[in-house]
Amino acid sequence: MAADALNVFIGSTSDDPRKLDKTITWLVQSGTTTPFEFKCYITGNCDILNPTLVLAYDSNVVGSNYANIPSWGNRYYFITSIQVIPGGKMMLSLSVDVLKTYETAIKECYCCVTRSESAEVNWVTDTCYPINPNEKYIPPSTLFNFSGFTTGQDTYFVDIAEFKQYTFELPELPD
Amino acid sequence: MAEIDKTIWGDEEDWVDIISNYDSGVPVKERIQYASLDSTDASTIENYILAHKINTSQPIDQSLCYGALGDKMPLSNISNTAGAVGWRNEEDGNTPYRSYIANLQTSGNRDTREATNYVFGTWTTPVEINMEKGAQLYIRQGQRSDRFHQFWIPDSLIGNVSEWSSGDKEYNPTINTKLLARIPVKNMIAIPRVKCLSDVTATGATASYVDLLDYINPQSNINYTTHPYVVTVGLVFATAQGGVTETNINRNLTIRLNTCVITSPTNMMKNMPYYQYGGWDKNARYNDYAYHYASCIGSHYRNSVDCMMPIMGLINAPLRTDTKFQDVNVKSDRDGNWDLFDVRFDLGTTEQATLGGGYALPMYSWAGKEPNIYLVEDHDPNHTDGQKYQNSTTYWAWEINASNVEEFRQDVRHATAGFGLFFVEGDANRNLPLDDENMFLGILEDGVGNGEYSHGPANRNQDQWNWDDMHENDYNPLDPPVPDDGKTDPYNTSVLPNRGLFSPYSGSWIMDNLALYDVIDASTDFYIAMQNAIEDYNTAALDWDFTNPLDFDSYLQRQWGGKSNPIDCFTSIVHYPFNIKTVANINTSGQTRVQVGSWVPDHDIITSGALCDKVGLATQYGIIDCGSVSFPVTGTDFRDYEPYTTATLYVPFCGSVQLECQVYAGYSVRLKYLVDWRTGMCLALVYRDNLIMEVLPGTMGNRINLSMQDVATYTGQLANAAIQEQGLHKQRFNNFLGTVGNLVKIAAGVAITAGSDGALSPIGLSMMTSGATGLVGNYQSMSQRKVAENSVTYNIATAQVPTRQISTATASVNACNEMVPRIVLIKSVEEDATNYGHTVGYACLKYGALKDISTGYTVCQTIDTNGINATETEKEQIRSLLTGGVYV
Repeated sequence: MAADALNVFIGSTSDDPRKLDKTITWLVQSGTTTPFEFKCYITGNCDILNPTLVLAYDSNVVGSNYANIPSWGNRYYFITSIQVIPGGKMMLSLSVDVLKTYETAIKECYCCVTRSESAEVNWVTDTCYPINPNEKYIPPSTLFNFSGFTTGQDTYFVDIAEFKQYTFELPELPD
Repeated sequence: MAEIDKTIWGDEEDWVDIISNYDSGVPVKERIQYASLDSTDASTIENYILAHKINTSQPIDQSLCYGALGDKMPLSNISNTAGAVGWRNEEDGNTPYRSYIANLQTSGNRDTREATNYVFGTWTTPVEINMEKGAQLYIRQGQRSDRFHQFWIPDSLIGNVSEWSSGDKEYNPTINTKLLARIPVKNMIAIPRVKCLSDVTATGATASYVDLLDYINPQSNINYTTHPYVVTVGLVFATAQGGVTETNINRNLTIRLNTCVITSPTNMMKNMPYYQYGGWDKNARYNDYAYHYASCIGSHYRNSVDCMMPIMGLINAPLRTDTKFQDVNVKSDRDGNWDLFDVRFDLGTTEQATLGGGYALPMYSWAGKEPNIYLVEDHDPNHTDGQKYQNSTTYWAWEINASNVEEFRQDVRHATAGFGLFFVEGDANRNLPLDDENMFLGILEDGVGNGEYSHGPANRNQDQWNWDDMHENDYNPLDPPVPDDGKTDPYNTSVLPNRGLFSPYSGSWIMDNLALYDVIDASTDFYIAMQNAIEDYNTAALDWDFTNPLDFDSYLQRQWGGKSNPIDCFTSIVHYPFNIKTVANINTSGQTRVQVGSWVPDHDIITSGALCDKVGLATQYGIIDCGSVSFPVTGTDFRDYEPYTTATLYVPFCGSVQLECQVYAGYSVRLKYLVDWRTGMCLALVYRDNLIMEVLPGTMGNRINLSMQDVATYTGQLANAAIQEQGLHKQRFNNFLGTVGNLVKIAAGVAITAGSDGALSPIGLSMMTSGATGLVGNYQSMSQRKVAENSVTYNIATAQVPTRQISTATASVNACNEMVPRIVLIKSVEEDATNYGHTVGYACLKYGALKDISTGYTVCQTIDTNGINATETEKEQIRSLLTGGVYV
């Protein structure tokens, strides 16, 4: 079954695939800055999240790694493989890039962020932080401003029983 | 320091820099400095502000309020009953100060505060509108009134001005005042004076004003027996001459001071902005009333004659004197030499004040009608009871008698100490050195005085000892009384032990029908001895001639009184490697020569002055406060906690304890010791702020080895021998008589025989026989007794002086160890963390919309994917990716 041609923008990016807002350099029409719309065809049943497209051979495409299909929900794709097939054609295997495709919606999502490049919360224990477990250091100690235990003025706490004097007379010695 | 509320205080750049106009060449500590207007243009505050609109690092001269009175001080506990302000009880409206303190925990119709600010000041007159005298802080309506709040000043110095009732900033007060900006703490001492009455039955009784020391002395002309009714206690200050030294004290100048609380029981000031209550925090307002509290201490500065005058009060202030001045022979204080004048004020005259619209509420006073409280009534028969008490000549007085005079004395000390100044109890002590036993110093904790004090050498341990003036106190009147960081422990302050809290006079100490404490009290005295005293005892114990043992009687009489065995009198001697009197602020009852048994050392034996401080039984326990330090990690970083950081507190005498960083971070660590002086045992108490957290037992004092010649036993040996010898002598004499008798018997027998028939009669023979037998027997007895006598003599000659040990030395290694408490941190060494945040991400626990929380590398624990118009497979991918880490 011959399908209608798909207009596909093809380009390249060097960004980490985990980046939402990727910077993409699209292949453009010669002499312009307008992205070139490649005519692509599917071959049989096609998963739009992981489609395989056939298009006329173009040497510029060989160096590409990214695509955009506006008619499929304006999805963005990673080009995962490029095969050159007989008849002056080439076949691209794509995999949807959900981060770029849904970038705006994802940023609106509520979430619990546990690690962040920008939002450091110092008091949260970071078990990944690079610490040398074998080395410690001791900063200057914090001294109490107390000098009461000054030597040289020793004192003694003396406990003395109170004395009460009694007087009595010795009896005469017996004869 | 708390963040300053600029809606109240205005922008810092607009604050007035209150400066002193004092000569620069005079050491600060020798002078009292006034915060005043520029000396060249003191006419209006507008000019001053314009001339000195300076952005300073210390925009408000905090020395105007160098400290505060804590929550236990009278001025921090003012109640209001039926429109009268005083220290009152809500129930009957009449409660003396002491009862009031006792009821502090029952809150009610009472204005209590953590800290009460006050200021010392001088001024010409009570505030008068547009008065153009003296140094003025002058705000004219419509001109610089918007700057008024820039000047932090207790409104007591502003007074009750009717224009304020408008409730806005359109004020028109004129202030004629000079504030004591710098009090030379070591050259200016406070002396409490007692205002007292001899009679409370007459209307308008005239009060006398005497020193505390005189008042408590029944031999003085005016004392608690002649004038038993105390109305109030105020302060005077004595200042030192310039150039005096600590040993050459001459505090000639007396400044009459007073403390007043202003009341204005009307709605006149109801709408007065809070920030006008500069002398107090804004919570000073009371219910719906605009009660106007302030504490002012100062003297009049009378511009016209340039003399210092007692300040009696302000408009609507208690103790208002209707501006009665008494001129004194004083020269100008503007030439920088005023402290050379010998100025004394006739306090008796100037204090004959008429109570105005309020009640006298100076530093310390009473009001009430309880068992020993007497109300000086107006005896006008046409007056109702209410009118009697409202009469302006009414005094409220507290009767002081022999049973409570010491309590009164302590209360006055307490109230005086709250100001954190040096003070003495009487004028006679005004020139004492600052570390004299009779020189007291109020203890400030975080700048706040709570009535505790030191005296004697312990004064040297207070911060003020090293200050030139009170301005060096780090107290800031803008700090809120209770920090709002939620990290304080406002509770549990009661667990702070107080010296002498434990009393053997309480509790169950009853044995049979005999109160044990009677036995203890009657049999035991405690002394604190210095090294020389112990050495003297040692000398006395050894000062006799062993080679002449029979001279022991002389020795005993001379050394030990001859009536007791000295070793039996020593219960224990515990050695402390420091001066416990200084450290623990021990109250002693004076120095004395210690009586050991019947022996009291005298000068011919004791030459180095074996004077010891006698202390009471309650002093068996003491408190040593080492103060507090901020825990050295703030807890703002996870690396401040275990396992990255561990903290150990070294506690002298007790060892070390690990302090959990999670518990102490952000707080202060306070260390106190509770010491049993008699045994040397101690408990180190570690506080987080005021909350006790750790208790470590230890040994602070070391019982020394006590062994001594057992004089009593030796005496007994010798005495027994002497008696025995005496007995033998007597027996020898009897034997002699017996021998002579027997000889007589023999002779008689011969005579009888010869005298009758020439033959021996049976009787004569018998006599001869018995006489001969007795002669032999007596001779044998004499021989035996001679042997016994020789034995006794030998025993005496060779008697060994016994020794006895009454205590064994305990280990004293603690006394040799380091004596300064410290917190030691051990921290982990971090590895290179370059790009750590970008690669791993910093730890974070935040919930919210992702866009609002994080950018860059982000790891989510959970994410709500509702709202994303994607397939479930895609959502699952999203969740998986975000929990694994993405770059946002």
